[in-house]
Amino acid sequence: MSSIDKVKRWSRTLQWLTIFAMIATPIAFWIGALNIPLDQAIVDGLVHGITVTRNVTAGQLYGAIALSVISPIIFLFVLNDMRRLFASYRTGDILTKACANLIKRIGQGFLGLALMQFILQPVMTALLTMHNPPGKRSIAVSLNSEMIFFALSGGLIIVIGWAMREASNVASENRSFV
Amino acid sequence: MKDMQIIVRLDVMLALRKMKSRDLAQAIGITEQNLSLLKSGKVKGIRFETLAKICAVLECQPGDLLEAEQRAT
Repeated sequence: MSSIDKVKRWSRTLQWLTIFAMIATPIAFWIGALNIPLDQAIVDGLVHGITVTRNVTAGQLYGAIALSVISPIIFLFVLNDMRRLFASYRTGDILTKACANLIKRIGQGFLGLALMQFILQPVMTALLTMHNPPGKRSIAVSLNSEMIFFALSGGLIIVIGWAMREASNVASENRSFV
Repeated sequence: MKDMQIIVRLDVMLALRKMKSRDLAQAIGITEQNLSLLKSGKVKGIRFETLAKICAVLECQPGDLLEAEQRAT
C-alpha cells in the first residue's frame, strides 16, 4: 500500500472520529452542566486550592461558566479544522496551500488552548474571590504540564504548517513541469 | 546579459515526422492536454525523462525541439 493510500485510509477514519468528537464534546458539556449542581464544592473546584467566597453572586457564577466555555469552543474550532484537513486528505488533496493553512490553524488552536488555560486561571480566581474579605482575595497563576504540552504541540504544528506551505509551493511548481 | 527565452519546436518536429500529437502523447505516456501545453510553451519546464522519450519517438535531438531566442522587448 502506497503512502497516499495510507493517508487516504487513515484520514477517512480520523475524519469520522473528529466528527464524532465534534458532536460528543458539546453534548458532554451540556450533560455535565445540567446534571452537576453548582454547589460550593464545584465552584471551589473551578479554581483549585483557592477558597471562593461563600456568597458567590449569579454574575460571578455565570462569568466563571462563560470563561470555562472558552477552551471547549477553541477545541471545537480545532476539531473542525482537523475534520476539513482529513476531508481534503481523504480526496487526495495533500500538498495544497489550503491543507497547509489548515495545519497552521490547528497549531494556532493548540497554542490558543495553552494560552487560554494560562490566562483564564488568574481571571477566574480574581472573579471568584473578588467578594472575599481583604487578604483572602487572590489571583493565581499556574503553569502545568498540559499547558506546556499544548504550547509545544501548537508550536510544532505551526512550523509543520509553514513547512507544508513550502512543500505545496514546490508541488505546485512541479505540477507545471511535464 | 541578453534576456533569452526557450521556444519549443515540437510542432515542427511532429510535422516533419508526420505524427499526430495524440500518437506522441500515447507513445510517451503523457496526456494530450500536457503535450498541448508543452507545444504552446505554457509550461515552466520539461523533465529530462519526458524529453528523452520525445527524442526517442521522434528520433531527434533535444536541440531539434528546443531553441533559445532573444525575448522581444
